[in-house]
Amino acid sequence: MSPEMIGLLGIIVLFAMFLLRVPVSISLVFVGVIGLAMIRDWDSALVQLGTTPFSTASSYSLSVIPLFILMGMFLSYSGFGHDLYKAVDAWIGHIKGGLAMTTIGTSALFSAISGSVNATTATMARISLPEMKKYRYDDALSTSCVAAGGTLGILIPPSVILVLYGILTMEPIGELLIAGLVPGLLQMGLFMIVIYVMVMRNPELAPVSDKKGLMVKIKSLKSVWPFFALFALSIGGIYFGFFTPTEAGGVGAFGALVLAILTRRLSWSDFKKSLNETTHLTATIFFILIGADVFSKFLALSRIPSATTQFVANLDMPAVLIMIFILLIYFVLGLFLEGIAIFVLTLPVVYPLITTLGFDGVWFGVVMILVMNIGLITPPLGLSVYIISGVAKDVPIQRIFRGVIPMLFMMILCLALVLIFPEIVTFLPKLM
Amino acid sequence: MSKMIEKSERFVQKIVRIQQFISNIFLVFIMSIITIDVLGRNIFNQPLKGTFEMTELGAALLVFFALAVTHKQDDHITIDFLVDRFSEKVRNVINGLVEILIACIVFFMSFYMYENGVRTMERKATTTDLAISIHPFIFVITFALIIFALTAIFKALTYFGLAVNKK
Amino acid sequence: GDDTSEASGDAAKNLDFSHFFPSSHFMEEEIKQFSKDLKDKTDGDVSITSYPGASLAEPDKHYDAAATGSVDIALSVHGYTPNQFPLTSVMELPFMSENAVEGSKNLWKIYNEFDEFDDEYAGTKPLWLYTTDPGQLFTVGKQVKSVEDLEGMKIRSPSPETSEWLEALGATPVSMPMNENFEALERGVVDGTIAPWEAVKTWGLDEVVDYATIGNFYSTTMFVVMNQGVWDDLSKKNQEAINELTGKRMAEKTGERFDQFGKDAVKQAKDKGVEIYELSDDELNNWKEYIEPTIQNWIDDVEDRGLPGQKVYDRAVELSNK
Ligand code: NA
Ligand code: NA
Repeated sequence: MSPEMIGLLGIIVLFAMFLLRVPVSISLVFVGVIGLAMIRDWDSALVQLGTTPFSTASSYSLSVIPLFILMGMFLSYSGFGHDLYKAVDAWIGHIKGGLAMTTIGTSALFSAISGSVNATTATMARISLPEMKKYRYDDALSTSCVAAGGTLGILIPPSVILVLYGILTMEPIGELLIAGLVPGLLQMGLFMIVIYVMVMRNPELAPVSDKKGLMVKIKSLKSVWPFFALFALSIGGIYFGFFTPTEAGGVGAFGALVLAILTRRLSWSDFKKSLNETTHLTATIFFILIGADVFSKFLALSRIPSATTQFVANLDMPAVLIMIFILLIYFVLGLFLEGIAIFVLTLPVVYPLITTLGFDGVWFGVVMILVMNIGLITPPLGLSVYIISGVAKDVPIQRIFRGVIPMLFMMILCLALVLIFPEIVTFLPKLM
Repeated sequence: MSKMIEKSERFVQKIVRIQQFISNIFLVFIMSIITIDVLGRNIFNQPLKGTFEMTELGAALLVFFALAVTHKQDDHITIDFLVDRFSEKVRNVINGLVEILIACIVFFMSFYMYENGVRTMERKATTTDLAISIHPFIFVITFALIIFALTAIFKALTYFGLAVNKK
Repeated sequence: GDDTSEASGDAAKNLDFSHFFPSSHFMEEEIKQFSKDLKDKTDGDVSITSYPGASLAEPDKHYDAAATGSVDIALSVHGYTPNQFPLTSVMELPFMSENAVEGSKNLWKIYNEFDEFDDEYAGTKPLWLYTTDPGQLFTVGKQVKSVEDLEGMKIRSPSPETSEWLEALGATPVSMPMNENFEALERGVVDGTIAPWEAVKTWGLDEVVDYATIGNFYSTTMFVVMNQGVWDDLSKKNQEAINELTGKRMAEKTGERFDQFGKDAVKQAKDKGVEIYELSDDELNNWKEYIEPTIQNWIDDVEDRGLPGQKVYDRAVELSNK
């Protein structure tokens, strides 16, 4: 059997295992190892089984994820998250979908601290989901907000993956980082609009509260300061060079803990619960990432990613059509592969191709992020959805996947706008 | 026979709880060292040596120590909607078989993790700044994986028990 | 029997070659060229598929991957797995070479002269070893000409030895992964970094650094190794062909590419306004006062392991003075 055939077969088996309720992580490891064995040999495949788990779990860029999650736990258990949403409710609770839009906005703000989607999603899920539940928001709507908001994490600078793109393609990293800002804000706006429209059509998704008096509004602000103090500390710390975006997780978690202790908001048992839940969620996410790593080594050896991109590269078609083909391929790869793996496996063929076709390299970097973000919320390998599912255990995963569909349309719309008006991406870096 | 199973299950559960505690300690540990490093670097021009590698190791240990308890609580992500449609008996059988599969894969993983540890020991691999030997950590993780696999086996037994009892 | 297996023994063997460089890097070109040469020389018996970007193994797992057969050939940096290549790390010491060709040639020579190296490469057959162009000091906002200038500056360090002498010089060494270096320099988390010119260009650091201080403080060394079993399975004829193609030839060739790329990087950095300062011998002597204890510590450490640290160091210095 050719490696490509083995690759396709692997994907089918992966689907089947998912449906039989085998944990996502275990399915990925299983198919990955057997696939590696079929393409190379058993010895080397089994070696992977013994090395990948440790090397993935001990990679620095991932090792700070638990700290971001912990920050979210502290903010939630100490009631800071609750206070924030209470204040938001006091001010804009009478507006349709106000809390959901707040979640998107807070995610955007949080994206200025965090450089990764995983960290943004996990932290925001923990802060916002319990609150939106209290205000009887529909759980498909609330989870989809977190999933959508989380994808802003790598668009709004800092962004781990845009730095990687710069290194892989030698495009200027500074320009790339700035280039993500406007599309990120555009996407944020589109998410808010779709929320508003959805709630207009079906008010039950997001019950509105009564309009509050001015005194209530002002009083509600009294208790949100810790939240903003923490944001100021984290964003300030990053932009004044006290710590890197990866370190911000550790400092932020510590800061949240100190604030919670100072304001006497965190009991000992809540502290313990925060730690327990953080380690559980981290183990869940990391085990999937370990599986995704084994699986992507298998797909790399199957040569499916390089073969499909090579195929498109050889097509004799107008540039625009080729671009659309490329984006389709990225969409499909995004179903099965994690962002970084996609970059590494396809850019060798795709990047030279799109630059010879006359597309702007910085622009394409942002376009890739937009497409890749779609992959994060689509099954079967929808990491963002899995992370949210790890927090919202009472919401069936297929409900989350279905809930994000309107957000998906907004992401596609944003992509279309960026394709038609490249200036959305390129004008800001050109000002530099 | 079933008494012995029960006893060993209780014993494994005890280890799982201890592992949860250790996992929490590592979480607090990496939070603390990053903060100390950042403060030390910016205020006293004295970073905490080895923060980078201790964070990596700490996070890895945190993850593997928490795997078993996470599995015990059914926290690993699964896609349920198809299996949910089957009868309870079929569901229990499928779940039991899946647990066996998990146990097998994780046992294999622990075995090859052990071999990886031996290789690492022979090559005297260490961390960069503090030159801490890496192989003890890999052996500890091997142990944690075995506990994970045992947890899966006990879950399988529970599922099969349910499948047999509910006729 | 034997005759036929000699002739068709390796009937079209394809080897997986894994490395961590991005596919846009010139080393991928070098590997493709090597693959072509290999195919020609072995009459199509042996060919190579290159897997760039560490898609088959993490950068610090490459040696292990080759030794265990997860991949057939692996290229990576010795320094990613510290202490596992005690003798090879002699070339990481300061002032060992002025350019990559010299460093690579000398490293390969020393490797062949001392049998004690064999333990470091157990399970593999080293095809060639090489160094990049030497590491220089790059700083943001403040030019470093003297030891005093360095006082209190936070510098990203590539190795524990470098951290040791940076500290002796009064700087604050910071460890971080290379992919965080750009943002750390840009925001001022660190004030500088020690890296070869090659890396400055590869990682886009010339966008953010303002000054370069040239002193040949460090060399990154890299290995290209083949799984021992795979090597043993090759026919004598093909082994000879590979030996001819690799070794000194590739060490030199790779060194030349790094030097050329380093020169391009200097030019590009100058265009971007990076100011370059070359330390004079007199000035370097000031630095050496602080740096030399690190070299002695290295020798002592290696001797403590029962390895000929002093001899290897002396030979490396002797070669570098030629
Ligand atoms: Na971000
Ligand atoms: Na996906």
